[in-house]
Amino acid sequence: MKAIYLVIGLLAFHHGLSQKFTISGSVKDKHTGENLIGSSIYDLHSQRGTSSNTYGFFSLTLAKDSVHLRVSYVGYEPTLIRFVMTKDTVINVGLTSGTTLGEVVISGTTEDRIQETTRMGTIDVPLSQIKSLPALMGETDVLKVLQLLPGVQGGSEGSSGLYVRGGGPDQNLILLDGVPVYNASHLFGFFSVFNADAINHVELIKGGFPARYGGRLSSVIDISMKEGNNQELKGEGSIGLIASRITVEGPLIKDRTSFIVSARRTYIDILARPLIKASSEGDETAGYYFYDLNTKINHKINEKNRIYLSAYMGDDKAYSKYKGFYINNNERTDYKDEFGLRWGNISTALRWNSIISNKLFSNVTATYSRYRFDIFAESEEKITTPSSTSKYFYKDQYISGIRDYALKADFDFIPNPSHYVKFGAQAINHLFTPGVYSYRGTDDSDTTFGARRIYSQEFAAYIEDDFMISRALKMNFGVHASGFLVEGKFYKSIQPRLAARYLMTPTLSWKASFATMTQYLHLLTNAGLGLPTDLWVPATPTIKPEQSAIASTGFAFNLKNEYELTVEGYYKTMQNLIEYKDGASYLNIQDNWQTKVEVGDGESYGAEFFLHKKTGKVNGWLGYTLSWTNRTFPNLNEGKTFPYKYDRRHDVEIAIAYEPKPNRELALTWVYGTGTAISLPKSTYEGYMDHFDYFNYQNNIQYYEGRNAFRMRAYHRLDFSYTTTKKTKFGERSWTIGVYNLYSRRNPFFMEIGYDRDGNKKFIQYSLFPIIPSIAYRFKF
Amino acid sequence: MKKYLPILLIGIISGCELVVDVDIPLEQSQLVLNSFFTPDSVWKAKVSLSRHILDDGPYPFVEDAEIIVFDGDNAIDTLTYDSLGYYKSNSGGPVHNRSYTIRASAPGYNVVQSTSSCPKAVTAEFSSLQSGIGEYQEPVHSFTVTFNDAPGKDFYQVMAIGESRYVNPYTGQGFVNRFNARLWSDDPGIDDEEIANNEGFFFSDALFDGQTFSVNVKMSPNYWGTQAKVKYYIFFRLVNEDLYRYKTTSLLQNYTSGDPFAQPVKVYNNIDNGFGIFAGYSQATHVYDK
Repeated sequence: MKAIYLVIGLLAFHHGLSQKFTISGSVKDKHTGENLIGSSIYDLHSQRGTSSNTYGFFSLTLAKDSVHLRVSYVGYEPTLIRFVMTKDTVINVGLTSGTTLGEVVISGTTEDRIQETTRMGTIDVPLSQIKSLPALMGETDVLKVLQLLPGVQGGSEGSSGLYVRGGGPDQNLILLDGVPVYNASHLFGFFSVFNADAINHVELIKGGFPARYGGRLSSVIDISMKEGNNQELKGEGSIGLIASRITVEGPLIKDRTSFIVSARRTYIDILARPLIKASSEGDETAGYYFYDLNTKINHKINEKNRIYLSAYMGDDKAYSKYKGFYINNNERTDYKDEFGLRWGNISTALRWNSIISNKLFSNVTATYSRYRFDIFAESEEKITTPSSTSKYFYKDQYISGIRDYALKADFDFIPNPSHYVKFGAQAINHLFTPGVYSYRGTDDSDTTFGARRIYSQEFAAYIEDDFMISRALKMNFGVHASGFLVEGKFYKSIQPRLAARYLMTPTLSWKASFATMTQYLHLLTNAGLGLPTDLWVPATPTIKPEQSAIASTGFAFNLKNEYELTVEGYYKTMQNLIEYKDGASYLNIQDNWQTKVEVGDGESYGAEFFLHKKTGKVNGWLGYTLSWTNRTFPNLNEGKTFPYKYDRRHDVEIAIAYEPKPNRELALTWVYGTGTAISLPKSTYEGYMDHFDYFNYQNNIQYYEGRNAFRMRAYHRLDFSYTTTKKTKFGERSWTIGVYNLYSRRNPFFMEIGYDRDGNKKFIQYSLFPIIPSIAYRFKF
Repeated sequence: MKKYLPILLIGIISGCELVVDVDIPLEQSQLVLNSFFTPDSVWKAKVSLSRHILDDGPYPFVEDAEIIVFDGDNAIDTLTYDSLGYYKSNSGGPVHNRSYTIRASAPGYNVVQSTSSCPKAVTAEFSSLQSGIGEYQEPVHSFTVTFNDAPGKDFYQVMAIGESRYVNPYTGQGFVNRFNARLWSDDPGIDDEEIANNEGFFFSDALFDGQTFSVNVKMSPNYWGTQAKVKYYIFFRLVNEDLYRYKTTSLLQNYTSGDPFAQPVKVYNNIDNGFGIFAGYSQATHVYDK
């Protein structure tokens, strides 16, 4: 019997030694209550750690022992917490932001250092850094800052489009609070729809995609909106040359319910309207504007449950109206002409966060999103005589768009520090309206051309685990399964994902990743301008979904916890890409889009170098990309491989912000890129017809050696800004003087054959933006 | 600040348009050899020179070329120079269902050559001509061409030339006016109709492969002064793939030139070491004397 007691006693002792408890909670900004996404929670004692998720939640299971936690986040003062853990513990940490904390030396390693994570091709740029860099016309633009990262190109001059590792602009999954945004541009692509004042966190993933993401081939841009200050009413805004914006946030119920409202609008139309009216004697009005509005309310039901309701609404509108009358004999004619162009997004999300247990976190989201483009021209004429009245009118209208309803559930399960499991599922109901042209006139019944509505359903489920196999070796593996039902055809796809890192030294790791992706949507575009006329179309029984596989490997090095250096090589293949046929034009809207495209493959490979310093008096980055991107279509370019339009051999980006004093900041960016690939005729020769021709028509044939066989001039540009900040009675104000394209480089936009002043036939290059100075006033209260 | 303002404004207003030198090498011109052949006619070809894309002016004719036609390895004809870059055979022409090679050389230029085939003979039945009035009050005629399509890929062309005769009321002198009639088809049985203003239209047998097919054709004089009695010569052609691809791509290039939103079109070329086209067709003709 004694022996039994002894065994039980030993087991109990052993159990006591290995007994584990879980620390869970959230990490937030101490003064605003904003989630600090990706903050590090690290136990210096056991050298185990984790990071907070998108909602600030974390869970760390450790053996019963004394705990020495360090909680840190870029740009915030780290917090140290010591205690002896004897039970499961909830800790909600508030960190204080600082401006020059980069100079604070943080010793040791933490979980979320670049060399420690399995993530590859992933860059998060602190919002403060995004806001500090120079911007076109003073308008801070998140997507334009992402263009300054290696592996990312911006397409045409001034455009906010993104071309990531040889992919097209449709291959980016742009998520705003988890809701896809389809056309993320204002003003014909020159500005993105994201208002930096309303954003909390931005992350770009170019490769090594975790299993939780799917539906696009080339990148994920995950943007989280602020939740709203839950402590006090705060606001900020700016007045710029073309737009102004204001953001107000605060608690509705302190520590429980908060809101944020952020709005932006351009006002060129308001300023110009009186001038146009005056010059046309009141008959004419015309203008262009865009606006966007972000709102969010979040409510803490209890310590374990929270709901959010967020909405984004944005529109661009160009319009002109002209009306008047004339009298001829006894006949009065009143006429009215109107032209309108409007496009915009609406996206809304209702989200429920729940801490099911201290190791299991759930997020259930219902979303609605809609993108719509509408262009119309309308004319009306009313003729009045003493005996009769007659009316004539016509209206042309072209509409395209996409509308989604989606429901998804995501779970984070953290059983112990060696595993971080994520799993979930989602369903989307799409409605595509890929370009419908209609004409209506007095004497005509309605006439409609173009594609009809297409309904489709998309499904996805995933599971992934971030598995610490040993101190040196860590892997993230998972699978993303998806399906797409369209016009009776069901496509399915199983996409394995794998990423691993091996710590070679405490500051240097080797990484490798592999991911396959499937995309059930295509974007028909041939201008590369981010024009609103670009059409989103689904995979159909004849046009298959796009697929890709990307493998990458590289090194991550952390120098003194101040500099992060990554060097990555990648190889990506893409199948079932679509391109316009030779000669196809999207101005020809009467044809079904499926008759205008060819299907083919693509490949991209290269190496990226990225040196990033996130904090400190001097911060910024240096990026360089060496890459090749090609396309091969059986029915284009005689089946021969040709360079993608945005194939760029060399791409250099420098972004530096310098803060000599706490209230002064200088920033500059310089970019260089190999010229855009274009198709130019090399020679011309006589066409042929062998019979009588009344018009004696001579057909000149232009000889193109190949698609995209020539290069435009290299692109380079230097931008500069200077900001001075001052405390005021109401809070803080700052002036920013900026110069876009400081040395007025005439970067190419497009080219055509023309004649110079001496009458010589030449290629004429057109560019958009010479040097553009700007000034902006910002304030906070 | 005031003194710098003009400099600033000049900087802003200046750049948008820039003449640039694109590195397109100044390569030597190449021979352009163009020849369509049919058993109804003797061999003929036109030889000219290509020019750099930034050169202007007419295409130079080549008057001293040697052009030889081969049937397999056997040289069967040597064309002699006629005028304006045209060369002709003095005697023979192709026969149906045979492949031929043409080779052209000229001092100082690469030898160019091409091989293409002459299609089988084609027969067709033409309906009577129906006349009507079009949307703009212009005369519009219609007729049907019925033919047997052989199994496999085949390509067709329908074209017409109008001929009207006038008598000058003052001089009493008669003269003939010829013009290219405008042809098109709304027939749903052809799905890839390519209209060429002066050459009728082209279509493939994708929707009626191996069947007897009737294509409805619309025809307008394409010559607004024509009110007199007109004789229409209708040409129904079975063209080979080389001719079809050349015509459809060159028409498309011409049609989309100047559209900045259209993708550039590469015109089909089957001349080795040079440019142009060597292609065959066979034809059935019909005359409407209206």
